[in-house]
Amino acid sequence: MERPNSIAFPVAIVLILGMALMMVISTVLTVAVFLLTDGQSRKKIAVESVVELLQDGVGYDHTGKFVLEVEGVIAEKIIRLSEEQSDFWYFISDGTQSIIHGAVPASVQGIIDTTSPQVFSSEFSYVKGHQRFLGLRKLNAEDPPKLVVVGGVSFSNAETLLVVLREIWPQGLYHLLGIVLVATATIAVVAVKRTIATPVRRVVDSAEQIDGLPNGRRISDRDTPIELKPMVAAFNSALSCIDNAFEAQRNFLANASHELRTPLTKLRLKLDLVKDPDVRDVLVRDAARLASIVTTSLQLARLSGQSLTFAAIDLAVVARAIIAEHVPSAMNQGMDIEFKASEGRVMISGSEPAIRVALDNLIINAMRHARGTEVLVVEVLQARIVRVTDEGPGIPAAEREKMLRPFVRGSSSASEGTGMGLAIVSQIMMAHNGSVTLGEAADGGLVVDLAFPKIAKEPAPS
Amino acid sequence: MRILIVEDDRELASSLKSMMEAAIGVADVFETVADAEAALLAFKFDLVIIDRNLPDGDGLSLLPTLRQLRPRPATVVLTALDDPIDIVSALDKGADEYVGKPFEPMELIARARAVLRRYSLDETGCTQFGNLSFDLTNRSAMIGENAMSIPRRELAVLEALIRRAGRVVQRDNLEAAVYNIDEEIESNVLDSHVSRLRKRLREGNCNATIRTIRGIGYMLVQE
Repeated sequence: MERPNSIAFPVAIVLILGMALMMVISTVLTVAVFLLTDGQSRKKIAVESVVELLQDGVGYDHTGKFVLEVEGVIAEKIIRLSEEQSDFWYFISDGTQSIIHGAVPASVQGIIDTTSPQVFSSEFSYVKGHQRFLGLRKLNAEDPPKLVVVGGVSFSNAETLLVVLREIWPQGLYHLLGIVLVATATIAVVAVKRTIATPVRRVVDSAEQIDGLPNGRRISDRDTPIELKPMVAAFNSALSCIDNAFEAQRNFLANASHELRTPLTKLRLKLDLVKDPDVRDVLVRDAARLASIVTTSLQLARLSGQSLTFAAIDLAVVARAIIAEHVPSAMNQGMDIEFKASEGRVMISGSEPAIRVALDNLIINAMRHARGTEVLVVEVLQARIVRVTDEGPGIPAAEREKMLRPFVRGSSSASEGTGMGLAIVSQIMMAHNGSVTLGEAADGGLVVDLAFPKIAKEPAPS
Repeated sequence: MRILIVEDDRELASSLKSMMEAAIGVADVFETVADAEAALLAFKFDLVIIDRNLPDGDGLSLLPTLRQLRPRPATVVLTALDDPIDIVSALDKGADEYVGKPFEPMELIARARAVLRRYSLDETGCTQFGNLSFDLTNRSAMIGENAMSIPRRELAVLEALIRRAGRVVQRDNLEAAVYNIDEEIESNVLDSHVSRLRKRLREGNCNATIRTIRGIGYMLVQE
């Protein structure tokens, strides 16, 4: 499973590990300081611990024989450490059987023999050679009572620490500390979310206001926490770079437009001075094609270089207005444009200027390729489809797909086609996450469907 | 009609001048914003044709001056820039019409005429389309020399159509021009107004007629 890329999660982990480490270190330090400053207590702890281990470890095997079997890694380690010392000894007895390790000093043997069975615990010191040792005799409450006597334990500081840690390990303090740890971590996760995520969220909200218009908004610096300021500054400067690039491209397109179109206009106006109507008509058509290539190339360049600003629009209203503008020129060439829209609104999320460019191209294409036919039908269907149907020669099925690429002209197309119109339409529909489908009308004409995706959320009725 | 052409390209300017003089009226050419501004303040023009890229600035900078003139000349902006943002900014600043380069000569003339017709209706209350003349102040229409008698609603339809003669008037807009908000409009009432008006025009031998544009609206055209 992939770990979620969160800020709060690693912070919480670090907090938990840090706290646990602090607790271990502080425990060790406390114990160590205690042991280092008090030699007598240290010895007592060691001996008591060994007695306890031995007491827990004795038992009977299946034959009823009295045996010593210490369990647990640390317990074994402690007994082994003890047994490695030459002065160490113990004596375990249940009254009938006994286990003895090392040499029980003669002076101690007396104490063992003479102490009344009513005394359950007794501590004694004895001297062996020049060293003073602590001994401990303990009798437990089992039946038969088991007697354990230990002496000659002398652990180093580190070994004592091991013994002490084993002693205090299973106790309630650690359970309590565990609860504190979990509680802290939970609080940390929530707090981290509040303190880190909330300011980040504010910055994100501010970023969401950015509308993609040139020289538009920036993320506000005012509400930004200090830690996020470098990020916001970098983001804002990236936006400025994009704006500058956008501006440069706009300027380039504007200049290119002007430099190309002004001479074309002059050319077109001069052509009216040509006397021979046959020559003039051919030249006028060539000039129109050239003009159309320039216009559509610039449209394509502009579309590929800028992101569109989307809004909720009624496809029927927009399409009707665009079609209305083409009616007079269609009428001039003897073609009627018929508009059909289904009842009610057909809402999409889209860029009106871009849709205008797409529809302009489709209608101009239809007027060009279906010249001489009578009716061009534009429909807006409830399924968010704009359908343009002409009565022209259509496009053979095999060629339809590639017609959507720039500079591809249909084999049967008239000479003034630019091969750019459908490529632009395709580009615009791609920007809308929609699609262009070329098909064949019942009478052989071309049907172009522009399908728009479902709007993400219905805008609130105002 | 007097026309001001602001265009720095001399060849284009002279083509425009001869084209406009043949179709509409006398034309003067100026090459810079400053010269054009001086001319506008000194003489009265009916139509101003402005190019955008001029030696001393954007032709759109003339629009504020134009807006203050009384009577205000009709304004057509010629431009090589057809970026939608540019078009909107030109229209917002007060241009009446926007023609992208390169254009068909007929297109420019038709647009200029349409703007002039709208202006004359606003300024003088009178306008002409073919042999049909329309007088807003006297609420009357004439075909040639003959006055037509037209009921109020049909006159309103005709007014809306003649304001945008040669272009489509959407059905919704036509309804809005003929009826006020409170009036219930029955679905085919507008159609019957239009068909009666169409009949009147035909019977009066008018060379303008109303075309039905299916699914969109109506359009006044010259036959």
